[in-house]
Amino acid sequence: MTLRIIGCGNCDRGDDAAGVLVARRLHALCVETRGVEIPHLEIIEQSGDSFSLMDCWIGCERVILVDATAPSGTPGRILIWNVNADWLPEDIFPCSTHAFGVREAVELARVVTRLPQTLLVYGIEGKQFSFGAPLCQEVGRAVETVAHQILKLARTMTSPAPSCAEPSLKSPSAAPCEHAPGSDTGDVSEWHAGRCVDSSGMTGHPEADPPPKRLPD
Amino acid sequence: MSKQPTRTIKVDTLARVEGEGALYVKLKGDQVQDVKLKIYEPPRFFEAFLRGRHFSEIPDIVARICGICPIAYQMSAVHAMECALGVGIDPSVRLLRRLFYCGEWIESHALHVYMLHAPDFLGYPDAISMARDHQAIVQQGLRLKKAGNGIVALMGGREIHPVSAAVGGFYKAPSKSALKDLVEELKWALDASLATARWVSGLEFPDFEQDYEFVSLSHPEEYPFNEGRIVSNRGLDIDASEYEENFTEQHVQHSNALHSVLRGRDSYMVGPMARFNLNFDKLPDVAQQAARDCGLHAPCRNPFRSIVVRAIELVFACHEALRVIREYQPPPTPRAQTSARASTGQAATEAPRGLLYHRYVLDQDGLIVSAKIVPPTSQNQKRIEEDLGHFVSQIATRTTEEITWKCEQAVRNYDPCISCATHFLRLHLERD
Repeated sequence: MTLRIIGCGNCDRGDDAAGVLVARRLHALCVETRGVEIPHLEIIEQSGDSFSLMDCWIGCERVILVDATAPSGTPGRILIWNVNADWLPEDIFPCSTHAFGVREAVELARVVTRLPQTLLVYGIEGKQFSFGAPLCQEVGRAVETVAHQILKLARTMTSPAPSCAEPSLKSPSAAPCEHAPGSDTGDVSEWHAGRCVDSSGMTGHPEADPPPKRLPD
Repeated sequence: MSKQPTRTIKVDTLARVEGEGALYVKLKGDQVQDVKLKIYEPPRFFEAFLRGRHFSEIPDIVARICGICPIAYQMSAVHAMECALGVGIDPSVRLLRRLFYCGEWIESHALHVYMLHAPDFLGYPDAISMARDHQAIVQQGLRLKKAGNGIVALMGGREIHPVSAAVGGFYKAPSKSALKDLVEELKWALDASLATARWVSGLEFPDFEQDYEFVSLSHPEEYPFNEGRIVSNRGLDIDASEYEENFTEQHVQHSNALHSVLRGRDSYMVGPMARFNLNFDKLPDVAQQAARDCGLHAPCRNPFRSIVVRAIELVFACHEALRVIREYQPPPTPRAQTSARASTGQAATEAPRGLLYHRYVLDQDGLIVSAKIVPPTSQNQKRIEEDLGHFVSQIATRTTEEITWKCEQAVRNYDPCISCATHFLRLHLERD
């Protein structure tokens, strides 16, 4: 079954680029690890119109979405939500055009029953979102951590299949942004068809897991 | 004499508009003392940083001004450059540009009608709440918007900030068969647009009319997108090259976006209502009949009925897209040759929100010496404030909460794109 990764953000607004950079880093990691079987992995960059976000997961029942979250004093903090189990909190994702962002797109999709079977949302807390701002170091490290976590997830959740080391990268721009190299690949969550296991080893059905789950910084 | 109480209504961040702004209304008793549409989004200086760039780069740069109407910026830019450089375009390219614009109008109007404006009429704070009770309607709106996205993605290379438009044409022209793939969904979209018009015409509209000067493009043979003279219902009839002789921009302290006014006259309205009122006879029969069936007649002077006008323009855009696809033959070459020369070019095209004017001065190497861009929201800004002043007078006896709701709805009549004009609204209502 296909796993689709959607990296959201705007590369021209500092840490808002986090989701897109995870998508690009993930693609680079897949290329670097050519030979490792990652079948049915698709990576999409999404920038701009959040009303179209739900179109990005049409035809795919397993989706991981990555976006920057609003500053709250802990830049680089990684939060994970199992959206099928709980609502996304208000005011945590920076607003997009017409004040309609990732949270609104996900919640609208829930209401009109267009959520994929499983949707995991990674949030990376940003610090600076102004036009032309650089990526902060903490977010740069978190991008690296999340990319490695998702890569490990992708490997563990896909069924054995012929080698397909280089996933398709559906991206409007192939050129990666520069960002600080990550130093901490952290522990990895395992995610199997609606079950979440976080790095602390807690396991449970989504209904039993009160999101968000916080991973070590 | 008793002292009348003063109320101040403030909306610090107006929802469901593009960009960042606030609204301030001061009432003394039932009398409106002051209205300000405060646009505090910082200016982005696009006109300044276009200077020194080559003319061929401009369509891709100006597309970044807006995520909702990038094609409008590209179209006004390429037409202004072609005017400056004396470039003629192939008739097939002209057709493709109309199709490109259809895609943007469908995307933008479907978004505004269903997701931004309809919740106001139905009493919901947002589209998510509305979707809980009207799931099928919201699904229809999302699919309509997607039909527009499909055109833009095919024509522009991607849905957001398309990259195919070029001075002289397109970098790549689609095949006839690629366009035919859009037909079935557009046929659905045309039917859905007719259903949309019937649905929105049944909404409840405040009894509010104003004596507007409507301004839009007018073309002798077609409903305007890219070409035509700039006309008004009060006798204005000019070429785009005469725009700056007839319109001027004014700085007001409370806004980072300039207010545009007609010289020697005053505020005016651009956008769907202006286009509809000035070009009703150029709409195809299906759209004219849909308007009549909705009880919508030109001239329409009630801005709250702009939601019906947008639905009629959805009908037009879907019908026009199907016509273009039917008639299209790929051009021999997608892009006419261009060569640099010192020159000046102006153009105005019809963005979903209204007239969008560009003027560029080029040097002999084709580098931009100066640029001027006047977006629709900048032109409507003063008119929005005037609407609010009159409208609040009508509803001044209501509670502050009701006034605030209605004021936001009145602002959204214009589907303002504050990002383009400089960019969300806060209402501040003050009563003594």
